Amino acid sequence: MKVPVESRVDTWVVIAAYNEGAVIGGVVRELVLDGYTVIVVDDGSRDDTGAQAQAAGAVMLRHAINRGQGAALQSGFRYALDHGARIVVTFDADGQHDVSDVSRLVEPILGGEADIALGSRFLEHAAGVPPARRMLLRAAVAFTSVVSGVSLTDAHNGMRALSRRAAEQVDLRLDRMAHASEIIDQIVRTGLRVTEVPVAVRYTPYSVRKGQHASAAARIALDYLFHKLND
Amino acid sequence: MGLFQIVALGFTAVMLVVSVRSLIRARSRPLPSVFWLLIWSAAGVALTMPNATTRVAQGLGIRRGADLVLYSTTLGFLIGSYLVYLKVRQLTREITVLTRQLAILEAQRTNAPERHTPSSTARK
Repeated sequence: MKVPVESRVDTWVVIAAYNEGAVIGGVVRELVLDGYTVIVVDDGSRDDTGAQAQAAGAVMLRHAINRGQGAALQSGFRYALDHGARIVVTFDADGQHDVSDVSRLVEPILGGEADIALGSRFLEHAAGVPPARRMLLRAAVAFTSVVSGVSLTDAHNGMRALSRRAAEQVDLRLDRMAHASEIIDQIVRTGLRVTEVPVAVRYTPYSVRKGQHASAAARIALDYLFHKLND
Repeated sequence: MGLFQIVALGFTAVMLVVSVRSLIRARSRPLPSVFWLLIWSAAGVALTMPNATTRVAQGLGIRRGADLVLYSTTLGFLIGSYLVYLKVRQLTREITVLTRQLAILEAQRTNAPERHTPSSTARK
């Protein structure tokens, strides 16, 4: 089922971007051409990310200082909901996602089968994942399964779609990368219906350079555990 | 009385005066000042009567007064670190909320309403 264009108007794609001036224009342009409303949260970039995003047709929200991806997405959620979004989609700024996957991701929500659709690179496109990244992501999946009690195939995929009801209940308090685990925790806690949808992830030299590395994984896990213990 | 005791006692006396002054100034919220008053008083007693710490230690089942001071300091440091962590967390949260609020207000001012609808060039 292809998402009708009139539904795309109310589908807000939220992109958190930090120093992504080189690629953000192309990413936004593709989404806008597909009819989605795009909001870019420029998270205190020192380059021309905001200007590029705006020129490409995005609604722009600018954090005066860098607060992290989780904080930026939460800002985008709030703005999108305040402006009537029916579905909110999160999308990475580095060009690793395929715009055509947004339509697949939104489908179960439009069909009323789920409140949240999480993108998974391991359902159909696992072959393209570099081995080191694959190991790291598998560890993240195991970690999420232990701490949140939910079994997923991909725990840290930047593509997610949330119904309005779901987005209203999500309140990301982990400002940095650990928000990806926090959002799953909140889904479990609120009893929202979740499904996984296969999406492709393109590993370009740029996205690999900008992506998370093994050294950051320990910090993400610690951030999340500290937050969980003190929540 | 050794040189260390003299210097430490002088410092403790200054801190006691500071604590008393802040207690007088912050009568509506006296607990933090009372806490520091007790800490500096205990430090003064330990410095002037080292044997007193040993008696207190033995009363608590610890053999030496020095051990009591070490354990208390370690425990105090850990509790303090945790409280600082909570405070930093709260401040971080407040900075994020403030940053978000500013961003939203600015966006409402600058983003023209027509931007909120998809481009006329959208693929059908």
